[in-house]
Amino acid sequence: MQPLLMVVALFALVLGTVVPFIVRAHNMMPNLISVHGKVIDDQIVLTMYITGVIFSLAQIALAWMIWKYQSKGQKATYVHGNALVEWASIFGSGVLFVGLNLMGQGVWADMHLKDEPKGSTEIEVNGQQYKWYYRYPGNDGKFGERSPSLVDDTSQNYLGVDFENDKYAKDDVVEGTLRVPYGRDIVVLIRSRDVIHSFFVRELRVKQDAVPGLEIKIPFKIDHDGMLMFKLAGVAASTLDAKDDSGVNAVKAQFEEHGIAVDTSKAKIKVIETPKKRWELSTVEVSHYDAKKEWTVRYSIEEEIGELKVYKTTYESPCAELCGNGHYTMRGEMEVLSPEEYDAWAKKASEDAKSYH
Amino acid sequence: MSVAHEVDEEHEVHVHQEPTQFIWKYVFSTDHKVIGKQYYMLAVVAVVIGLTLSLMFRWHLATYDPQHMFLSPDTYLQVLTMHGTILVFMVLTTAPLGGFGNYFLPIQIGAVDMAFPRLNMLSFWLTLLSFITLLAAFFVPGGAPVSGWTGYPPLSAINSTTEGMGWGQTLWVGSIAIFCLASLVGAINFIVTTLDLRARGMTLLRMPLPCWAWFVTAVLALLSFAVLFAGGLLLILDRHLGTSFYIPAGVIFGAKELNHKGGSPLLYQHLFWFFGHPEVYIAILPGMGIVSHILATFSRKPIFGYKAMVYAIIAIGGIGFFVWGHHMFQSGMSPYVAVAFSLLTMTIGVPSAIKTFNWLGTLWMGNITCNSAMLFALGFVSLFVSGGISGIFLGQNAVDIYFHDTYFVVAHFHLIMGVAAMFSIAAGTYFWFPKMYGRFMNESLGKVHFWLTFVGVYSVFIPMHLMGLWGHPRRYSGMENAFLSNPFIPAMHNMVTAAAFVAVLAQLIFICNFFYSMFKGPVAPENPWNCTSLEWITTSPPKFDNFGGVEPVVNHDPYEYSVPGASKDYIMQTDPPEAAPAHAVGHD
Amino acid sequence: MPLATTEPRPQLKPALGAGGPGSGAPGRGGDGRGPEDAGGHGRRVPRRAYYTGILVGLAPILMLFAALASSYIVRQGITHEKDWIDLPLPGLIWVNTLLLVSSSVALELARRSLKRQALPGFTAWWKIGTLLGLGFVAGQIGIWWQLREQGVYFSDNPSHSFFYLLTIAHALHVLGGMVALLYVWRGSANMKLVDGRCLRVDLSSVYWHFMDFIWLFLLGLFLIGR
Repeated sequence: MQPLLMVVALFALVLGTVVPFIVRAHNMMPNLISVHGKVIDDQIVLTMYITGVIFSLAQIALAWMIWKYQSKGQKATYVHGNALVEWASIFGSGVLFVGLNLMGQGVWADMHLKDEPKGSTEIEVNGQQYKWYYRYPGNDGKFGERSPSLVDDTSQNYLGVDFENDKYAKDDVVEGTLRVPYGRDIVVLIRSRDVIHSFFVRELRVKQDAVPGLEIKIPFKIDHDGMLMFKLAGVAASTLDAKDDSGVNAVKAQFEEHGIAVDTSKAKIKVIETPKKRWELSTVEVSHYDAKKEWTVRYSIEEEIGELKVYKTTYESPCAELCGNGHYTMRGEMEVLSPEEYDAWAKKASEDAKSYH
Repeated sequence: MSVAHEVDEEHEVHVHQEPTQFIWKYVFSTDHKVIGKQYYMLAVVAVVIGLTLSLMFRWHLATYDPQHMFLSPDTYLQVLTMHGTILVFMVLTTAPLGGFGNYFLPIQIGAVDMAFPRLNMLSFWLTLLSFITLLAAFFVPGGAPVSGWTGYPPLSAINSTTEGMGWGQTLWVGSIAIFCLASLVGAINFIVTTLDLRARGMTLLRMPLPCWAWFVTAVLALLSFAVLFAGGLLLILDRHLGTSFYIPAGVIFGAKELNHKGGSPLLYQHLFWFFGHPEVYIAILPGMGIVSHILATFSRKPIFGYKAMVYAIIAIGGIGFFVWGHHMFQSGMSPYVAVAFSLLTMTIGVPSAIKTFNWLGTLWMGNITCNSAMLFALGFVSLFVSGGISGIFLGQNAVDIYFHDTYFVVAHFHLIMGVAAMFSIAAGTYFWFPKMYGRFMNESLGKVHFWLTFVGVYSVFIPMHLMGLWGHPRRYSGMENAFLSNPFIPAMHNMVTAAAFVAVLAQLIFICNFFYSMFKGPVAPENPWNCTSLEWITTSPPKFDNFGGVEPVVNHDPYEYSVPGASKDYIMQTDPPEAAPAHAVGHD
Repeated sequence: MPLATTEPRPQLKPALGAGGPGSGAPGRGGDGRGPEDAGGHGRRVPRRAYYTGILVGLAPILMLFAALASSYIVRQGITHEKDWIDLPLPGLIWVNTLLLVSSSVALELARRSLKRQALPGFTAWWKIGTLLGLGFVAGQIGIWWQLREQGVYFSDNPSHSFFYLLTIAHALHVLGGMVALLYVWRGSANMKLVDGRCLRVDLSSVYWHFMDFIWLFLLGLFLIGR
């Protein structure tokens, strides 16, 4: 009885984990929007396959031993071990684990060990209990001086930027939203003014602690192609977040703006008419709100069926290091813009800031 | 046995009679068996408190409603912090080492007691003091700390950071410091006892595997707790004497700059994890030893690769000191150092793989009886594999970028350090209960306990891996959040909570079984499991001096089961040399 | 009272020779008790267990100072904030070093006398060693007092905090050893000797020499990297 139960339990365990983790390995995580994240995702999937095999073999072997050698009055075989098995497990596991690890070192080196690419857009990410503030260097491209003694929350100088005396500071923009252009190299300079926080954007595959007293640079680049499709569909993040028909209707309206006629049903949006644009879609099917809050657009151009992801433009950046009671409320927002939109916004914001100071 | 002030230059001779008064016999006892039980009972109390706390925050997460929160955000973090601290220190460190180690190490190596029984007693009472100090944190103004069991500064170093960071945090650090002293004293005792008090014939490579595990664990404790003590000391000074070991200059609280001069928050993390990583092995190594012992016994086979098992225990302990940086990949530590830590971390997989192979090898061609002790030991092997596998993700610095501080980490360390260690404690309890109390525990209840726990814990922690993959951050008390209000996540929290209730409430069966059997269980003979090690040659429970005045002499390896040509299917370690047929002398 | 010694013995087991005969000290880590009073049952504890015990017990003390010292070195090495102000080392520190080292020498001389069965020599050297040790503690207090006079406080700079912390931690351990030395002093008339050695003498002097070692290590730490 017990051996049978054990076998059932272990097989159920293997099925229950292998199915979600291995079969759906590529779809487990929130969609990817960064370039380096591809390597991380591939490494995770590869690790998942390798460990999935080891895991299944070990659990099934355990089940098999329990079943096959359950006591039926037989005499156990007197064996003390086998040197070959020991050495094989040493070399096998050693080569496997260390080799797997070495494969992941490339992306680590790209993120942490290399100089950031020239001409990167620099943005300062500042954590404090329980809010993120972002600073942009403004039109002069230089960050102004800052000092803790200048911090003054009442006049909203959360970062202690020296707006008074430093000419580089006058056009610096401090905002509560992180705006980044896609297709460009970006470097975030991560800092904290009180306790340790952690800057985390799931879709970027970026996570880095913000440590008071340190400034830590993390480079990334947002994938260009995925965002283009979004631009085409013109779906705003806010509408995607709605869970009822209003969201679907808003999406429909936006598709129509782009000359795509949409037929709504509860779960799907069907595009019927062929728009006369460069990205011509003869039919577009938008699947309904799903777990990852992204939308898949199925399209066909002259019979060729394909699939494009429609991305939100706004992403959450939850604090990932316990920073106090309000930890769970400390969510930043990252908005992805096209390079042109970003430049226009940055120019105007910087001018506004300069005239204000 | 020589009992007198005789002239003996090799030994210090001490004559002490068994105390007869209750207080000296059961409370302030220097008998390692009583101290072992005291440690065990402390762990039972702690586990009840710690698991109750976990049910509280599980309930909070399952019923989350921003308008009517079951726990306020600060209470949530307090409960979380205390859950972690109580279970890591007061359960996982005390029960396997202080409990079983104290009780069975001297007996298994044929000693009458620990080398320094009064230090042993001191160790227990300091642990109790530490536990009381920790619990007191609930009852001071501001309540228990909210900084997690890791207590990272500056959050934990500055009183004004947040609600609940006053005396609670100070008591927390104080409790940890006392615990360090207790563990150091205990570790010295374990090491000296193992090195110098073994019976005649009990060579190091004839010790049962639990003894090896306890010994290596004690070495880990000896070297790591002093460093944690140093870390805690600096934290206390930063909190109360205005020093700046951890608090950097220019830190701003309450919209004004604090007067601290250039400390390093990462310094604490290094000191903490230099302890914290070996601590994982302090929790799990004794479990490995106990499980090896039980697997061999109920497979009726010698342990597969005894020497490889010993070397693997030593290797895990040794490498365990050089991998602490894998807790800090995203902390701002030098990324070059992270690469080295990551590679070293992967090498720990090698001895772990050896252990797994050898456990399977022990079962292979055996004669397996699935009683409660064996079921828990088998469950341990399964959990050890599962928990170890997710470690391969987290040990890779690049992959850890995504997984760090998500539920994936929570699931990983609970499986390997929490649940697997708990399974080894349960296995050890079912196995040794007849020796400790002279009675059997109820087998049917034991099996119910096993199945509810086994299914329960997997249902709790496998889904948590999934939540980690989705990017659910740890230590979030609320879910008013675009990502977290995704309907899949509350559903998952509900499921995990339901499973957690099953798994935790199943422990009530165990506790009832434990106390009922202590008085009413069927009486156990000396050696109910036909096991070979020394604890089974004496009465159940053992007499005050363990062996009734007989000094055991060891003639055999520890796991001589099913020896061909022998008269019975096991050879006790103390059986005369001729018990084993000449052709079947143990060899690896 | 004469030595309660026993017949000369061949030799002690090599196990104890290996790590150097030791001394126990009260303090944490050490056994802290005279060898005679191990509790327990009617049983024999091998003498080498006490030597093993003291050596094992020194390990966490070493780890404690190693942890604090590496923190010191790491903090000193953080150069991006120019806020490490070296502390003016008072000259008294050299006097103290001399006191501590000579107290160790005196204890060794005492042990040699014991080996030769010269009890008066033992007692005299032991007392000298103990007094020199007390002198060291007094000298350390003097150093803290001097620094305070100069306006060097515990919390005004990480460098100063570390100096006070390390010296105070060391002094506390020395005081623990001092209790052991005084205990031996008090019981010096009534010792159990085996082969010219007394357990508590050996244990407490090993501990004391170890305190020398820690002190020299700390001194080197304070001197390097200024």
